Amino acid sequence: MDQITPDLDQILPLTPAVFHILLALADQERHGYGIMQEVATMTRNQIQMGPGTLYGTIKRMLAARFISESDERPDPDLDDERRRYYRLTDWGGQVLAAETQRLSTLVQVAQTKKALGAMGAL
Amino acid sequence: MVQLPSLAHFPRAARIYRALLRLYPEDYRREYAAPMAQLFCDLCRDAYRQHGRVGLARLWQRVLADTVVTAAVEYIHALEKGVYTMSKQHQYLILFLSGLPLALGLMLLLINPKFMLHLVAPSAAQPVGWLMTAAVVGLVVAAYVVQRKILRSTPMGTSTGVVQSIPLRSRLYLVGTIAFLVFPAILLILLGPAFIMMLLSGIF
Repeated sequence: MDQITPDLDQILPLTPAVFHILLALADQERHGYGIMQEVATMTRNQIQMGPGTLYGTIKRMLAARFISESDERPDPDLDDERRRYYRLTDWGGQVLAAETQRLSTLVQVAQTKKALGAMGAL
Repeated sequence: MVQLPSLAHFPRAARIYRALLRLYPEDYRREYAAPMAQLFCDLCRDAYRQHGRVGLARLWQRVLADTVVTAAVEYIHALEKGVYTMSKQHQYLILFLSGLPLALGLMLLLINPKFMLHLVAPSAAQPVGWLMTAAVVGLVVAAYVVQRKILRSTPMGTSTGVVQSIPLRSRLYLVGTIAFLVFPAILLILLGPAFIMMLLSGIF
């Protein structure tokens, strides 16, 4: 069944929380704590979400079908069965790719304007 | 095998956090309270391992701010979707507080029509009237600005057009809540201790 998906232009730009969660789930399924750890690692602890921000954002991402809850446990021996795992959907992957492309274009613009040169002076 | 933290590792912290979770709407709590409590314990364990009690204090600071803001956001989303309807008590409280100035005005009108006339149609000679009118208008305008800022800063606000989609009635309730409940509460917290100190030092 075809599901109506909103236009990417209406969705972008993503908020930092949504983008970082999508990025954290890009390579594997993770539970809430795993997502939080991955985001902290990716951003060198610059972004540390609280439980409310994380699960509030997850709730809206589930509703927007960016992610889905996974029934499988990557390694049941190593984990607690009470934990919920989340994975990226195809639609979520497309949204992540589009946002990454948008940011990449911005970085290219910044490079042509030599905006990154100022970083060397710091 | 990895040993997972349980709520028993930080019983007092877990109890307080579970109580804090009651700030969220019921539907949200039913779905996410358990994983959030589990996550909080994971964070407690990490914070304690890395920085001891100081780490726990820093975590609490972050979690408290996160809880207050996101609980408000979840109520807004619930209102937006029609999942949450404000409780009757809350509605009556806002109506009561909003109507309080009106009721006082009517009472004054009955007791002393001349004085009320000065308040309703203030002149340069009646700065009290202007001040009162300005205070009420300022309160409502400030509340309107604050609720717009809150709505715009919701996690997916920029991508879902949250601001436009909330029904007018819900927004009015939100403005009423901020103007007549949140602002006075903040004022009380900020000025309360100073007032008590003044009372104790015999200024009044």
